[in-house]
Amino acid sequence: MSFRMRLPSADYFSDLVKAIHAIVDEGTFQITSESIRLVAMDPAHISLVDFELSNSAAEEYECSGEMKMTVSISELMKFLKRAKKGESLILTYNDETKKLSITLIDATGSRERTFTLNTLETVETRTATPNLTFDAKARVNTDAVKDAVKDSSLVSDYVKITIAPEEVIFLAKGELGTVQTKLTKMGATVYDIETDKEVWAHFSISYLDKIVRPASELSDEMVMELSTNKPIRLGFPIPSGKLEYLIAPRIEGE
Amino acid sequence: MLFSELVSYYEKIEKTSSRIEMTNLLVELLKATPPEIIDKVVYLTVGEIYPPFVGIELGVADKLALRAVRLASGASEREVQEAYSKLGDVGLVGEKLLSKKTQATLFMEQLTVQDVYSALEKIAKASGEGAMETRVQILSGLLASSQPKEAKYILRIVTGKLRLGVADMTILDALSVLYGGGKETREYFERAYNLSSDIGYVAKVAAAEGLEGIKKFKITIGRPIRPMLAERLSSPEEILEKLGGAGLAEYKYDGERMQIHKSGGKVIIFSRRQENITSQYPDVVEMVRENVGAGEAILECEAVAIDPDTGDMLPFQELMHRKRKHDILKAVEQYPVSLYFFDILYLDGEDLTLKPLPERRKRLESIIRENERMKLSKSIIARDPESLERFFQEAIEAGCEGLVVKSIEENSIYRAGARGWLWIKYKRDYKSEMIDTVDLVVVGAFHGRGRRSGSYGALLMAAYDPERDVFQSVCKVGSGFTDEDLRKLPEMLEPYKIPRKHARVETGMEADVWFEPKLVLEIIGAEITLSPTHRAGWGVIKEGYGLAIRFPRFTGRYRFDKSPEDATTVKEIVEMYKHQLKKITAEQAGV
Repeated sequence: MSFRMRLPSADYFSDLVKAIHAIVDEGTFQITSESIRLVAMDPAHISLVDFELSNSAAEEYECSGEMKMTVSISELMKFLKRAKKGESLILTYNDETKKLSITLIDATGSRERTFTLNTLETVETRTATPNLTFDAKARVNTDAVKDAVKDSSLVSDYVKITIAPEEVIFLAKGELGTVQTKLTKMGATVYDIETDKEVWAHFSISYLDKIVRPASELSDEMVMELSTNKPIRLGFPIPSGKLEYLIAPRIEGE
Repeated sequence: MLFSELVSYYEKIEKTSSRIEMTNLLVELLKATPPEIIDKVVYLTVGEIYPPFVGIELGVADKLALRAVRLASGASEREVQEAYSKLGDVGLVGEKLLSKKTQATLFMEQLTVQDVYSALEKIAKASGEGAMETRVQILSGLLASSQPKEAKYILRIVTGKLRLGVADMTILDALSVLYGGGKETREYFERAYNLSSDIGYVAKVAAAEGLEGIKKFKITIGRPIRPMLAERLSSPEEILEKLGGAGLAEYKYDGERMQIHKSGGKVIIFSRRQENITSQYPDVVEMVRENVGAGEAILECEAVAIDPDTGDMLPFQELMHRKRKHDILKAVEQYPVSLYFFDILYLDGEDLTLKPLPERRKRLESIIRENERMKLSKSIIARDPESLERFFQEAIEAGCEGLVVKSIEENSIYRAGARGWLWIKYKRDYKSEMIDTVDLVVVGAFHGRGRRSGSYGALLMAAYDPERDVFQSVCKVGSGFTDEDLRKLPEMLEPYKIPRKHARVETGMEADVWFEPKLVLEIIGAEITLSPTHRAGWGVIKEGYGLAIRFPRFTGRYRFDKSPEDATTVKEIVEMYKHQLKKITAEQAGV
């Protein structure tokens, strides 16, 4: 079985993989005739990435059957970093040779570079995507969230995120002081909030930061979904695809 | 099997201080363990993941483990540090912080023994760039899925500090109770262990095949046999008496004892402590491949560092240059070794450990093709104290530590893993270190070989005895000469060449070339020892023995200013010997 996909922008695909790399070092792509998808949890099981790119994102897409391809994301990233602006990308994978090739073609079509990556053995894991429901949903500006996380990191390792009917609040408390960011509905930073009550939970700043930073390159707005003391879902709308993350909360018991 | 089940046994074992109770708990644990993972349970219980000879260790530093605890628990750096300085045990820190874990996980599963074992394996095998990060990630993932109690033991295992008090020997007790029906069958289990050095493998065989399997336990190439060890006595009379009047006396070479496993072209070298040291000795692998006439064999030899120019044995310390990870090939060239084979334990499917020594020696002789660098250990059959003593002094002078005298009786089997009276060490109690240089006269020479062909390989040196006006030999020196020296020497000595030994020279050695005593060289050595061959101070210290310089070297100084009669006198050498004679301490003797 084999798979081939041509994407108009190698640079853009590189940014997508960078966003996956925020969470995992190694991952398994499920390749079907519709899409390529990767769902993976970080080793500590605190966060999860759910990435999907459908065939409509591709200029050419051929897939002769369902297959799984496990790669070292960091190795893949090394190759993709070589991509230059304006280059397009062809990914091919052969199920028998277990090799993934990454071809970069410049705009004039006069230069073509092919990198081949040995893939890894796919280990079946018992990982299941948790079933979650969310009481609140907010569509917000990605850079505003990125700044709120960065500001919070000045005083603490974690931040309390509250979604209320009229606002989204980030509150970090440390020994030295507190930092609060209030994003009000109807402003330029919050586009929409769907909730009839106030929900909140605490999250690790290092996880928020490593997810939001690379994702901010991909999407100006993001969707935050939350229930009190439950995992948060962060969605970054991308054309012809999906990029979502879950982060487990910190439970403040004492 | 759930890891929590294993942990509940660990908790009970940890609480007991009675060995009997510990054995009973182990019996219960092993009984509850599925046979296919019994080896893994055994390794974990002794705080390892592999038998030591595999050479892969966990050894995660506390600092790294604490980082994993921090990640998995969500505790702050300060909380972790405070808990660590208060509790001092990474396991307890993990247990405490995970029990008030603030960081939730997305997914929780009950850990199985297999989960834990394979995660630990991944941690142990992580290598290269980013290996530290990988270890922390895997460990924190494991901790995130574990209960606080489980975390405690995982952390202790991973940092090499399980310390349940269970050793390989305790496991053997438990196995003999569980599979042998009682402690009286322990010897079978112990033998299986001594033949494999692999407690997990012994458990696996016991679980699969029971006592019968253990009784017919087979040696396997690749699993080191625990070495037979020698007792020690300090007089030839006592030794011969203990051995029933006669024994095979062998040089006790001052080198590294090796157990070599050969299977076709594959050669593995184990140290005396069952570590795999193959990578340090690519030259030995090559020599064994070419000069051992057997398909499969397990052999024992001593590898001794030699002077590449003279072939003389060098002290053990020189081998330390081989204990490195890089530039092995350079070390091989600079510090070559000679091999002296002394035993064979297995040959082409046949276990020889239960055969008497004379038969093993015969088999060994039949497969070793001797050459310059690969020999059988030098040995004699000693039947009287005098010849044993003489052989002993020869061994010391040649740079050996002494002798090992071995029983040649019917029951002289290879007792793996045991120290006993079938083998007896004879080492020196005293030694006399050499501090000052001496000026000696060249009286003879030996032809050089290899790189030194065309010149002299070594010179026979003598001290002067003014009372009798004779020159008495004290050493044969080959070390310390530069290429320049070697080129000049034949020319320099040519005028003094004489057809036979000079009338004023006394020595027990047969030189290739003799000289009139004229040229004086400055020589330094490691020690002055008794010698049956050299004649300096003959009979002064001991009847039938002279004195010799051990590990002699030319300092590079030609004493053209000195006439042969100005050379160091025999009397001075005797004084040096007496003055520096000291009892060898246990530390120096390496006991």
